[in-house]
Amino acid sequence: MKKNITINLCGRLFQIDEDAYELLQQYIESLRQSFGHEEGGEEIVNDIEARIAELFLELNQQGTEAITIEHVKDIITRIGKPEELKGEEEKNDGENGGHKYDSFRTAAQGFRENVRARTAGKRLYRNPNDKMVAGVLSGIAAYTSTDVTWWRIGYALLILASNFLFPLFGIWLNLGFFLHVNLAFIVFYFVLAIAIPVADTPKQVLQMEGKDVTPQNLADVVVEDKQPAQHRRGCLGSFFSVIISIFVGIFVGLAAIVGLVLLVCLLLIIVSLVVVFTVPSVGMTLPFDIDDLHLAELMSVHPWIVIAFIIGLLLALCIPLYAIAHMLFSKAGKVQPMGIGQRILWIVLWVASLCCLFPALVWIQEQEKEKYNELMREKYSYQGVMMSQQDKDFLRKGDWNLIKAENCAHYTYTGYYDGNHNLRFLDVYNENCEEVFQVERKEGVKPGIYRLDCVVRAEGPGPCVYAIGDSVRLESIPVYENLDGIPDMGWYDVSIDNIVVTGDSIAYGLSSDEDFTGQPCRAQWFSATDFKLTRTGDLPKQKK
Amino acid sequence: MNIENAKSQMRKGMLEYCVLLLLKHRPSYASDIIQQLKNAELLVVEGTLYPLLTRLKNDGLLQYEWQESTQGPPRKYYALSPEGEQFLEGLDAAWNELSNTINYLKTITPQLLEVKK
Repeated sequence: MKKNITINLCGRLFQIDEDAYELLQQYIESLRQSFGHEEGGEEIVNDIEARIAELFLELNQQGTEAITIEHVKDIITRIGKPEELKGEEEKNDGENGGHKYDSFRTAAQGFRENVRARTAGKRLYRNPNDKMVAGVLSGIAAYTSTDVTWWRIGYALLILASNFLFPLFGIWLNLGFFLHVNLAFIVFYFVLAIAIPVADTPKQVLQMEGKDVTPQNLADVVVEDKQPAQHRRGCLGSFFSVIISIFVGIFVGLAAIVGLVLLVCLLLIIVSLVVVFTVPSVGMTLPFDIDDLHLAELMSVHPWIVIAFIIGLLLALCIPLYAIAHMLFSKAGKVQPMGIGQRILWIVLWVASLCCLFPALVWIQEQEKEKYNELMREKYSYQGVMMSQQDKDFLRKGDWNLIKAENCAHYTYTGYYDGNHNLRFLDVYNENCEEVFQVERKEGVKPGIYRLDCVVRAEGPGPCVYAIGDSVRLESIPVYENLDGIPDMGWYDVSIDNIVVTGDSIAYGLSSDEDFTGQPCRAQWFSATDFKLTRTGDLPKQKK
Repeated sequence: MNIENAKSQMRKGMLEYCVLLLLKHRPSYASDIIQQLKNAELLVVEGTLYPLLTRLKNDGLLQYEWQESTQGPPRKYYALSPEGEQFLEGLDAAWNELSNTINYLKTITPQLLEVKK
């Protein structure tokens, strides 16, 4: 099936296939270029045009409804190429041009000229006539006038060898993905396949091969059937031709679904953003947990990062949406497919938007994590020391003051000496006896003599209980005796008697701090509980 | 030098003369001339004729007038101008000479050459 258009040639209307029309136009244009600069040139071309109209008319009279490219090709052969019409065979003297480089020229210059000569006047297309997968390498080979076999071998080796080569670069560049570079090369191929358009028309085939777009060359392409045809497939592709066509259908369907999802996401996000920034205090749950990012708060602190995040997010959604819409429309023939420049531009823009979005998102989440940690610290710390909720509750309820708390695995424990497992008591543990711990409690009292009673135990020597009245009174905790099977193992009653208090308070506590107790701690653990202060008498009356 | 090239050179030289001959008796338009030349197996590509006609016209040897056609675009009918007729006479004479020369050279045999000596 071909697209058919109507043209007006010398006042007559003709139905003509689109490709035939293109060829005809090329032909007339080349005639014009050939004769244009001589006297009466325009007239000659007009006469030939009239002749073509006549021949078309003949065709119509013979029952041809639409002029095909074959007809135009016949007519061109009949009327002749511009060179034939000029009758002068201008011999190219290109033979004299040197392939040898002067000894003064550097190899680099030679190489550059070589490249320029090879790519001169060419455009990069995928080659539909010689392809394994999508014709990318074959197109590159045509562009560089090189043998496609070497490109294929090279690329295959690159994919295989990249695992061994790229870890070196990976370390150097600090790339995290080097394990997947062979995958990356495969993906790269498909990126190229998307970015580089396929040579669809005979004209593009010529541009790909770097030939002049002349009627004769166009006709050659058509006649030699180099013209891209849909039934040609790469030798790999031909195995899967049916599957591929199914996949194309599925792909288009999926693209439509993805596009729809993207559109819904985009709308939801836009609405959410509007909500977040206009009524931040509503505190309702928004889609994608956007509310959890607290954008409005961050906006006031680091506006640029939030703006980068939003722009990146919107672009990252809009670009694929646009691409999908464009693809669907171009499949439906409503719009022209994108050119290579446009595709590359969009891909670059999209990657840029991702590069904008993800660092910003990571940063924002980092902020949130920081905030969360802050919250956790508050929840699970007592006087600046991280501990379990139970430890914290116990210390707070007991009004204990943490003076030192280093290298402690826990601060309280259950398993009371009377067998009550719900009761907790002060208990510190470090398997290397490195715990440095001191808690203290202050009680307001009247002046007098006091006695402190408590129940304690320790795995080794060092830890002390103490009371501070007028002076510091220390009492070492006795090392426990392992009495297997007895619930109150190792507990001792300890008292500090005759604490003289002339002030209005007394402090007492538990310590394993060598600086305080004056003796090194050699206990893996120690415990204390049931501190009790008893007034035993008045202060001795002082003589005035 | 290949034969095709030589033939095309000869044709090119003769084409002008042939066209003038065709137009001697009645005015014709380009497609007519092409048909005639094709019948005479002289023309390879049709397009050659158009630059030639234009050149002859510009040299004043031909003149043309437009005529409506029943089945196509209006046609240019070419005819010899008085100068063209004169020119053709000149060419006729030249051709006769040339023809004689060729005929003579073609019929000549080694024996004749011997006699002349």
